[in-house]
Amino acid sequence: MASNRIAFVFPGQGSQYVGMGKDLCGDFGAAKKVFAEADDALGFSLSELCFAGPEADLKLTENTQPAILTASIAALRVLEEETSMRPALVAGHSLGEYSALVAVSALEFGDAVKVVRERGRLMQQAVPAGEGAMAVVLGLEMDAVRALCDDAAQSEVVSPANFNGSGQVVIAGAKQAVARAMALAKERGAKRVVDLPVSAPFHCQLMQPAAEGLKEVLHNITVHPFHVGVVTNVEADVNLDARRVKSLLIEQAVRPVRWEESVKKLGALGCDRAVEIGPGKVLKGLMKRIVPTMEVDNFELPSDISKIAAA
Amino acid sequence: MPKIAIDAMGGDHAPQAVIEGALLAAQDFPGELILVGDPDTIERELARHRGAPKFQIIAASQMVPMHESPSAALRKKDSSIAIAFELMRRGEADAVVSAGNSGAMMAIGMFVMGTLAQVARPAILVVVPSLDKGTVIVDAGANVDCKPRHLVQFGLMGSIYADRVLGVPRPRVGVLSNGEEDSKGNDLTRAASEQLATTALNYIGYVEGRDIFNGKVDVVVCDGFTGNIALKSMEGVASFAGEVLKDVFQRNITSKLGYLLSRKALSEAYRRLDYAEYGGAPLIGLEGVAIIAHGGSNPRAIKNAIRAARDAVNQEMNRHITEALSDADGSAGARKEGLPRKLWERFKSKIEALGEKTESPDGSEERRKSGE
Repeated sequence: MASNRIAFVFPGQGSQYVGMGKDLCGDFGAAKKVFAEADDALGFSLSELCFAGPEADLKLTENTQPAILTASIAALRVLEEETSMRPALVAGHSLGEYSALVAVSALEFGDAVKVVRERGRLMQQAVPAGEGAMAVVLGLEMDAVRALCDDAAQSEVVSPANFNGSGQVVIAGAKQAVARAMALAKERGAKRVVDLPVSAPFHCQLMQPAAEGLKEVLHNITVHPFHVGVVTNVEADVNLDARRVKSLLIEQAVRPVRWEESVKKLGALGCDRAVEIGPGKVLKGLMKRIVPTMEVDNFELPSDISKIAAA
Repeated sequence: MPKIAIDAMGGDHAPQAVIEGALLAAQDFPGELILVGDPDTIERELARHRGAPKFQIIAASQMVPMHESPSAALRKKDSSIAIAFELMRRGEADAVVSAGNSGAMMAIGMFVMGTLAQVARPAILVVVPSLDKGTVIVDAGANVDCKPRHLVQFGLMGSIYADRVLGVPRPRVGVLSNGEEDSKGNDLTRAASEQLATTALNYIGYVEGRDIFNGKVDVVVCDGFTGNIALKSMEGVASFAGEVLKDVFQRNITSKLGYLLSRKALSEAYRRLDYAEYGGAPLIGLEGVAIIAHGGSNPRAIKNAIRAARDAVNQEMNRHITEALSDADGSAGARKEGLPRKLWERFKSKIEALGEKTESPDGSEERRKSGE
């Protein structure tokens, strides 16, 4: 019998690196199968891009998104096969929400990988290069960042894009408005304000054209009923209703990722353990600060198996 | 002696029917019953029954209404369903029985307990009356979309249930289809049928809806969409037949006299047709034992659901499922007990025959059949 209640969480953009998934594919047929399915669905060798780069290509969001999804699902399938670990709830950061939906069988992996490739393309096209920006604000409360964005907007778009917890808020918007918000943040006592080298301003109103495109892309996809709850970015609450999945994903493109509240929700619903599945350890770091009592592991390499199983 | 946590607040006639059902169960067979819900309501209901045994009562401050969404139900951490599952999770109960919201049962069951190792999708298993010990239908509604491999697992879990809990040795497993011939079915049933034929289960091929009752098959495998429609149709026919009988018997004095004479046989027939006799539906594939009783359960249905829970625990249903599934192709269970060589050969020839048929230019056979 399970001793802990476990949440599976899935990373978003920024966790990619050249070589991700390679070792898992070397050791486990289940991982190899996932990469092969992705290559098949996309019609080009995503696996080659993940394993060997070049990094510049992997960093293009239309590649990054399917790549992280694929590496995450490959890791998930290995975990499912090698351990009896099953999630009580799932969640994912931004793009990771698609991985979470695949994990609970709401989306087919082959569909999801195509959707997120389009999602990447749409997000990139939504704002001409150089017109958008994102930045990290450290050391200010959520409400303080909301307020300073409002004050800095001056009828342009700038708003919180990710509430990552422990005083880390990512903001996004039009380039000038983000610059004004950064200055204002420093003025109002932010510990640090860092410009983010991104190709587009995600999770803000400037993504509206992408959201509309996404609506069409999702239109032809089937969402299957699912039994394990997904804590969504938009609501920071559990969804088990297949009929709401698409609208929540569309909304997600223009709304902030409420990660801090989502992690707190996982904790409040009784998850005392979480496993970050896929490349990197970004979420693990964030989550440990949000709910210090939560035991968080990550699973991305073959050697992680014994570590997780032993815990 | 199994300890069974009963959701006292679940069902259309809760808590009266649930508590009366628990009392009936306590009279009929041994087992420790735990009532979960609002303690005052439970005490008040128990007080109406003099000499009622002392049940353990565990408080739950919330309840899940019949039509509440699974998401909303999951957020209620102190609902009677959640508390009952928590008892099982902590090992203080061996099984959970509820006549409440079945979507909530599934969601909370998955949240608190999760699935057994190797189980891809838990399913709702229903036993319907037949001329023999009853026929298992799996899945009766949990998964509306299924992959062939899910159906194979349903077949395996259903087979173990029929064998262990209903006492049907080497149960015959069939895939529900629109005709018996291999050429019938759809993509899902064809692929599932091919895969089932390679397992060590006693797989007999396609069966039709009417076979559910004629004793030809013990375990009917289908996706939850099909299974639910089949089940609801049966319920409809059963109540319609009852109405027709009532109408006919009331027509004149002779028919009324006929009714008086055949009353005993009729009530026996009714008993055999009544879903209540067959108790609840297990959420099979879930860690632990969870039984969903019909929302409209009367006390007898609750008693039988409790009996089903007790049997599933006593027969170690989950251990058998896990053992059988621990083999990658899902055939270990039966193979370990020694599958006759001849059976394997039969399966083999079956697959080959299937291959031939799909290769042969179809149409002629198909047309002939559709013309019958």
